[in-house]
Amino acid sequence: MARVILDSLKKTYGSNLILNNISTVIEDGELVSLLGPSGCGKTTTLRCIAGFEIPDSGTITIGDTDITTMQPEQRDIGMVFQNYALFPHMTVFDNVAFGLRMRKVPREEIAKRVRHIMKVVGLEGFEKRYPRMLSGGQQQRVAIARALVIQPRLLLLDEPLANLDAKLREEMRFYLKKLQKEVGITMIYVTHDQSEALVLSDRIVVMFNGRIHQSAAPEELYRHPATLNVANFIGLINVFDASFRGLDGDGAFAESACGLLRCENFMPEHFRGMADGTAVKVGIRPESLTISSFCPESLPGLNVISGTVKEKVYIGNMFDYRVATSGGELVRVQASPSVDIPMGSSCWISAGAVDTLLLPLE
Amino acid sequence: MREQKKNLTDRLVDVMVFLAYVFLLLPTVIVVLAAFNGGEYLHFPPDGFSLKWFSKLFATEQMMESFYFSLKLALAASVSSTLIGLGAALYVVRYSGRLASILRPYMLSPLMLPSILTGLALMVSFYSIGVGGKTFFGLYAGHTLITTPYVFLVVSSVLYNFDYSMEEAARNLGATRLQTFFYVTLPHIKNGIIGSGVFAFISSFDQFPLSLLLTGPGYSTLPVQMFDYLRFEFDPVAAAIATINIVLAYGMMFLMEHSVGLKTLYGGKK
Repeated sequence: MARVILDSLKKTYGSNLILNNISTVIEDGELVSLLGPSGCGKTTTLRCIAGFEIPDSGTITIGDTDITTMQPEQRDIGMVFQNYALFPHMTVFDNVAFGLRMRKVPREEIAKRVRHIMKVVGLEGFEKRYPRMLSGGQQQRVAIARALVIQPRLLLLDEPLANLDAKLREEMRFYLKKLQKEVGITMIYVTHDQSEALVLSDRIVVMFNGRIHQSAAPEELYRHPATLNVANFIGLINVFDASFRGLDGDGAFAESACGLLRCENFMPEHFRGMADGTAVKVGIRPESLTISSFCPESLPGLNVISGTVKEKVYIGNMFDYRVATSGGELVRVQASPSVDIPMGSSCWISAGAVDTLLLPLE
Repeated sequence: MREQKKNLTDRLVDVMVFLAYVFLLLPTVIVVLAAFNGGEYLHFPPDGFSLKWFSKLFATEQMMESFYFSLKLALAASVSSTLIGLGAALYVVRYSGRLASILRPYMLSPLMLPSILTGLALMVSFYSIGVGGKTFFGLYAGHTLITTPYVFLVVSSVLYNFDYSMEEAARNLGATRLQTFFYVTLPHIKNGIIGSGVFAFISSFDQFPLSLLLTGPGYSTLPVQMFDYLRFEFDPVAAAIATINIVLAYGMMFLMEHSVGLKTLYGGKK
């Protein structure tokens, strides 16, 4: 079993806190992404798991083994590097066979296993070439084969698609996902590209400034972001400044410049016991908003805001509006092209309370 | 492919380059021609063709002895400066600590100081510690000292261009530090090591000011021997030995270009 447990990892460089209490559990066979902007600590976390960095405190265990301070070569973890890090003076065969040779695997066995893995990554017949003779995508697959052939307990990938062109990147996402299911290996994937993480992962760990903000399945993360940073990083969102006006059954109220808004999409533990009037944020995704030229009927579960259309762009499957609200915010609305509201005219935008997010300030 | 017509500046550059080559190579050509001189004195243009100065050279025991001595000295000095320069470069490039920043200018200082000064400093220090100024060891240490910066410079520039994730990949695949060095790092910096080692060899072989101060009886290097010889004799034997030196140096450069590539000397790839 290769269950990976990161327990309260801390790491500082000088006075910079790079990892601040990183704890998460990666289940056997799971594909988990570490997602966040550059400098958020995701790569450092990966390097701690690989053994290139040692955390100042906290432990990393795989299965029953504590690997926190083990040498990298003893960990039995595969890794695919951002620039692939293939050995340019070795043929593809020698690159892939390197890990097996270090493990003193008999020659015939090496030949057999390399042949098999080359078939898995679809690069049969490339064994005698040198890395520089391969395209970026092929080099990438050699790097994956080299990491997989040693049958590691865990595969780490550090922004493996960052150096590929857009089209190939898209293809490789699906390829990686398929490969992971076929091989059944636990994978930890570092990326700053939210769409990549959404497509690939069973679960996404979102990090900012050395902390984990949320760890959830892609859909959950998109629908119920726990913090403003997560909401902003994954998908688009309109954010309103507001003050907290108390919990009420399944929902909560917040007073914004546009009026009192009812929010039913939030994490109750963040708001229990919060004082009335505390500054909070209200978030509504552009596609959750409906726009109309008349005031919709006032219903208890509906937030209605009046405004004026400032900008309008037609992008085929929808209109992308920018609406100046009565409260002075500029709000983005993505609406079906069946409703066409002219520029400069007044309008009403509305969103259900279930789609209205209540978020604490950071 | 059709070439663009050359304008005046391009032509001017061509002429300048040509003149620079003439300026650099002409003296060498003259020395070589003088070595095959049929006449009695070292002068140009030569009076007829003859190999007699080469046979006189091979018969001059002192000259031949110092030739072999210089070869041995250059070999010993370049081997030790390669080892020291390699070790220092590995340390300085890998570790950014305080010792590394002190070591870097220190390693390059023999290149900055005139070698006559280095020679003088060495001679005085050898005397003051009581080993005497003119011993084989002193000469060997001096040559190692002034050739090490070449190796240090070249190997560190190659190491700065080296992608360390390759070492991490090797460790990740199960190689120990030592295996990683031999299987991954060394193949990468090998050409730089060989190239700078050859360079160290040639600069030791050619070294004059430092050797002048540190050679003693029985330990005369070739340049010093040639200098002595020319003080008393002015026949083309000196030109003959110079010709052999030139052939040796160009031959090594040629071999290097075709094996490791001279570009490695300034950190480029072959």
